[in-house]
Amino acid sequence: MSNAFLQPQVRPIHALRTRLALAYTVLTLFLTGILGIASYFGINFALERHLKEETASYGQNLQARFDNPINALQEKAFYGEVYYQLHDLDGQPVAQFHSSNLGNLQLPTVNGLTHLENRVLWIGKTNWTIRSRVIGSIYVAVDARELEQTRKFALVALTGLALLATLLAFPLGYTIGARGLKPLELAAARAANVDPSNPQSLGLTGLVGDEVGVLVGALEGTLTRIRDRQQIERGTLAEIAHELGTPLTVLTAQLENLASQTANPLAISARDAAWDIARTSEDLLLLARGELEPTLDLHLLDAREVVRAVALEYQQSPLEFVVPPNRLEISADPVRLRQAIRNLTRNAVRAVTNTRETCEFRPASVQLKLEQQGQKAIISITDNGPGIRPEDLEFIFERFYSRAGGSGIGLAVVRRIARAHGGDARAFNNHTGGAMFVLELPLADLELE
Amino acid sequence: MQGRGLAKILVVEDDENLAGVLAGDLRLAGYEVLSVKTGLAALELAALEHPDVVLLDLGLPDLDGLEVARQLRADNAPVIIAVTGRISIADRVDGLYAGADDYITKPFALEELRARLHAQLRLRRPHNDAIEIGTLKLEPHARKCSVGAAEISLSTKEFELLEILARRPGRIFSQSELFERSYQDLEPDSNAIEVRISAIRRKLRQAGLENVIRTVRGAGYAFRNSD
Repeated sequence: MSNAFLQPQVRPIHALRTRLALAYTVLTLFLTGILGIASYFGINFALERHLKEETASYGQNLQARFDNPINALQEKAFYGEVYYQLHDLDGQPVAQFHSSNLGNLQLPTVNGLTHLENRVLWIGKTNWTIRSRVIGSIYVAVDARELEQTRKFALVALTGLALLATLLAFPLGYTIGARGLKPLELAAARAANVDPSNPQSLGLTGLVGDEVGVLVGALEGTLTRIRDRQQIERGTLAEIAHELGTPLTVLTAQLENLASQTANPLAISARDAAWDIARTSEDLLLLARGELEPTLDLHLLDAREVVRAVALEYQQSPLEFVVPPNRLEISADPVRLRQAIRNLTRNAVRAVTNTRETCEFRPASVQLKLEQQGQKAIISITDNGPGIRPEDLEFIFERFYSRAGGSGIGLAVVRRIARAHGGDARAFNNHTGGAMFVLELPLADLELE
Repeated sequence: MQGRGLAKILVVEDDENLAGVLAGDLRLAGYEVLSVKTGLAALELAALEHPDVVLLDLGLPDLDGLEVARQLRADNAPVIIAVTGRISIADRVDGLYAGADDYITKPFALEELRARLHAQLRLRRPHNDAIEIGTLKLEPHARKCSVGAAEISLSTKEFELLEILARRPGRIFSQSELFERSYQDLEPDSNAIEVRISAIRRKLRQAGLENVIRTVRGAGYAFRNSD
């Protein structure tokens, strides 16, 4: 797997925080709107009622007084800023009381208000009756500048309030959402990068017990359980490998003795099989140990020695072995490095010997070659076997990836060992057919005395 | 080789089959072999017989293998080769700290074991604990270091460092590892090791030994292992 840091991306428009903030905003707008309209009408209703009552009471007063028209002549001063007009049944003014001529008070009103000579008036109408007979109308006009101003103020104030609340709701909602969801985002980013073979904690602390906290906690718990499970599995694997260690040492030793004493082909093949099992158990033990770094027993050594040691183990095989004339000093754990080179060599030898029938015209060959390239020691193992299926190339070093045949352990071990040494392992197909595996190791950075 | 035929090996292994195989093979290779199954028996027999090499399985039924290594080291100072089959990562490192000179992991080839034995015995003469590499000779008990006939005067710490490195030629020791082994009582100081190493180098160079201690950048120091 490539090591590029995976960052799950949420488009801003899809972000939960945006959606929540928008929802809050719409809700705020709706609520403040309803509230504003209600209060506006409430205030307006109260003020209008007050004016209606006022004009009505003046009207009744006038009604009472105009039972006797003579009384009417003395009323002007009494009412001060209140104007009134008496109309006959045809709507013609017959009397009015005001210092100035206001004209006909049967004026068009806008929202109940009448604008007249810079005055704002509320005009109320009552019937003019004498002895229960309607003889006309009484119009009473009172100053209503206060109503107009209150209406304007209420409108401005309530609209402003609604807008302000709405404007505040979005950033506030967004911020709260962002703060609350930050751990979720972090958790997602880290969860996306969890190494399946070694799932470490997400490392999020200080979470409150909200839904996000619960989710992250649950995720953390899952990771812990996976880790515990892996620990147990590794332990079991290691236990198995360990249990195999002693009998395998005995078995290989005895078969080694038998093979060298009798030179019996059966004994030799039994010995080789026993060694295969021993090496596999070694691989298992190594994989079970997990992180390799602390167990490396680094030596300053000549890479040629290690390659030579592996080549010596495969003397019976069609193995060609090439090393440079000069020392290639690397810092490596000789046992582990030999294990890696051996795994690759063993695979190659198997590949050519198992499929000899299919390439009948070419003699099986494996080349184990060490060379220097820049500051690297390159160990390549080339065979003329069937090669690697292209779809397997990318995954061939993955642990337990066994589609290419085998247990999926050997190559995983090779790569792990190579990387622990600061190098890497690669697989290719030769253009001439067959596979090539390359082990790259950095040369030891030696300081001259 | 001078050790062969004379060297006495104590095999401490609780698995009878393996003990039998090891004893048989080592006898065949010309060693004198004693074999016990428990840590207590190993300590008793080591005190009586003074083996040159103890092949010590760390997973013993009675005592902790590392503890046995520590006591063996304290009493007799034989070469100790630890045999581990255990899971713990720390095993090997612990084994080496406890005084094992080398380790081998099961399953192993007898050939491999013989090679390790041979390498260890080549470094040290039996019953003497002296280390000889080429013309360089270290005698830990006397704290004496010499190149050919010329004696080299090293401080206690310098001698300790050179001894740690020379016991396992080629093995790379990081600065912190060297520090832990030789300055257990002090606060880590990155300079201390560097200063001692360059003093050792200077003294060896004066005696005609060049490039005995190699510096591997980013890794540590190693005793030269090219011959």
